[in-house]
Order: sequence, then structure tokens, then C-alpha cells
Amino acid sequence: MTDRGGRTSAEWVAFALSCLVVLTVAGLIAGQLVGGEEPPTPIASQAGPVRETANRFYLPVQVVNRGDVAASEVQVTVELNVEGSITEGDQVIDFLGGDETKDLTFVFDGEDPADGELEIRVSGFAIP
Amino acid sequence: MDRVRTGGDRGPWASEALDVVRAASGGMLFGIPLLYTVEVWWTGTSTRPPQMLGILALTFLPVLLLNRTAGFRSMRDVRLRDAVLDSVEAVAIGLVLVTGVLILLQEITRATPLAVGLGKVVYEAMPFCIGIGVAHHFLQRGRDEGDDTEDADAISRRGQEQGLNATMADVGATVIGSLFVALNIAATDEVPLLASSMSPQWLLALMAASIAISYAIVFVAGFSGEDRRHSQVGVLQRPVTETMACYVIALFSAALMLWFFQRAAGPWAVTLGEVVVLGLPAAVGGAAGRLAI
Repeated sequence: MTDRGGRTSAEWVAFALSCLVVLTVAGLIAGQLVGGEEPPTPIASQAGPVRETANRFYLPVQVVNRGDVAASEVQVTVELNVEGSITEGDQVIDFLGGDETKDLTFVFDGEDPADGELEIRVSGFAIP
Repeated sequence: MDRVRTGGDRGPWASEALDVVRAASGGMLFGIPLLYTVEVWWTGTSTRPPQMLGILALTFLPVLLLNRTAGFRSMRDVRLRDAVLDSVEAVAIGLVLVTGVLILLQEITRATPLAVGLGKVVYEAMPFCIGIGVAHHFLQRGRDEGDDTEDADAISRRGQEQGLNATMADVGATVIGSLFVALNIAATDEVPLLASSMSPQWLLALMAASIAISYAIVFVAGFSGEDRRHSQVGVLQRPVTETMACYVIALFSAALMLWFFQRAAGPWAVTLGEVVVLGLPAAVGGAAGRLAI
């Protein structure tokens, strides 16, 4: 390894491009500072039609964090009430960033969600 | 040593391109394990913008110190001004490289919110930048011990005489190197997590990137041993042949590691996806192993 002399034109161009990259990233981060500090607000909803395969019903659910701050251990609960008979299922999302979306699927064995009253909700989460 | 490295003078643009590839290779060697760590993704996800700016600024400090002593260029940065300028370049290379690999691993997609993506990139970039800072220093041992004193003809003759031994040494070094880097990743849940989110097209892209990175580390980056490797004549020792053969070995090595940790019990398509995902760190480790021998 030798000591270097002056910088070449190629090195200056690379440096200029590097400044552009670093400043762009810093600028994008700074732009996020303008956004709010809304606390985590995960919301769950049905994401599409129910799919049936071999008398099993697959319910797509989408969870969106409407807040700016991340939520962890987001518990999503789905409750199906068919003439008083309640079937409940839940899933936990480890981590959900601000504005982030996660897709889940709940499976009902032999019970069509269309036959009853369906409730989809976030039943709890933690602040990481 | 010449301004660039042994092997003749290159123009300033070619030298700069080599320095950038060397930097990227050093970053991959040092930073790849943390890319496969879900907790780092989560930390990035939950990081607020002021912290991100702090982490980005903090990243410059170790890189600046390393550029004063090691760095990614074939020349030493003696003046503080050069070290500062190279530190900006190192951090930029780290940011671009990490963004590319996170996209390749589907940890950043079109659906990823900007703040989440930025957090992941900034956190993952730090180890990459440190790797860039020591890129030239990596695997210097062979050169320091005098391997470069042999001329290319002598190396070539020695290579022909020891062709089979050299090939076996390459195979062994690839396996050992891949174990060294990928074994602690193979045991984690990140491998099936990443593999499950990747389509066949992405897996093919990951394979292509793994091969390209492996080639860049061994035959482009200009680490010690690279000139010698170009001159060796053995069963595998032509750059493209060696790279392809050693990638296959790295994949076998990855499969073996998954089997060892009882993670290869699923359907073959699932296991294949996991092997390809683990194949990236295995190929990076394998390349480093081949340079070390």
C-alpha cells in the first residue's frame, strides 16, 4: 500500500455521487421529521373474498398501522357468530412499523363466514 | 506496490471502479450476517427519524478511523482530508449496497413505508460500512508473507504441478469459508422467513447476485491472492469455472447446514428456496475462504 498523491477526476466524480447518495438519504430521513408522531394504531379488516377449498374457508385479513410509530405483538382476532355458535381465532404479528401493512389468512373448518356475523379486530398490541 | 495493485497500471476510472468493487466486497464479507437478523430489521422499523440521523452520523466515525489506517483503496489515506472524502464514499457505497441486498431479499418492497425502509437501511449499513473500511486490510496475510514476490510464471508452473491439490484446497476452503459465515445463520428462523417470501424469479435473481458477488470478491476486488488465483491452472481454477463450481459447493454446504439443524425436512421446493437464501452468505464465505488459502 502506498501513500496517495492528488485525487483523480474519477475519485472526485465518485465523491460527488457519494455526496448525492448520502444527502438524499439524510434528506429523506429529515423529511420524515416533518411527519407526525401519531401513536401506533393497527386496524384489521377483510382484504378480499373468502376462498373455499375442501370445505375449508380461507378469510384474507389485512392489518394496517395507521400510526407513525411501530407496534409489536399485534394480536388480531376474528370471531364468527353463526346462529349463536361462536368460533374464534387469533394471530399475532411480531412487528408492524408505522404505515406498514401485513396480510393474514384465517381458516374456518366447515363454517362459511358468509353464513354468520363476522367480527375482525385488533385485540391488543405492545409498544416496542 | 503500485497505485492500484500488482498487475499493471490502470486508468483512473478503472482504478476507481476496482476500489468501489473492493469496498462492496469488504462490506459484504463483514455485513452479511446482520442482514439475516430479524431483530435488526425490527430495530430499523421502530427507529424514529432523529435516531436514524444520529446513527447515520455515527457511522462516519468508525469508517473515518478505519480509512486513516486501512480503508478500501489500494493506497493509504494519510491526509485527514482524503480520509474524510473516502469516508463519505464508503458510507454511500454501504447505503447503496445494503438497499440493493434488502430489495433482493424482499425486506424492502414497493409496499414498504419509506420510514421503515430508511430505518432498515441505516441500521444495516453500519456493519457494511465498517467492512468497507477494512476492505483492503482483509485477508492481507498471504500477501504480507511474500506470496507476491513470486512472478506469474512461477505461480503458474507451481499451479500446474499442484493442479489437483489446488483444486482440492479450493473445495475445502469453499466449504470451510461457507461454514464460517453461514453456519450461525443456518440455525435461525430468518432463512425460512426470507425464503417463504421469495418468488422463483427472486430466487433466480438471488442466485445470479450470489455468483456475481462471489466472482467480484475473488477475481475483481484485488484482495491478496487475487493475482495468484488468476495465474493458477487447475481443474477449477479459471475464474468463471471456479466461481460456478464453488457456488454449487456453497449450495451443497448450505443444504448440509440446513440438514444439520433439522431444517431441511419440508417439501423439496421449500428446502430449495432456503438453500438458495442461505447460499448467499455461504457463497460470500466460500469466496473469502478461497482467498485465505
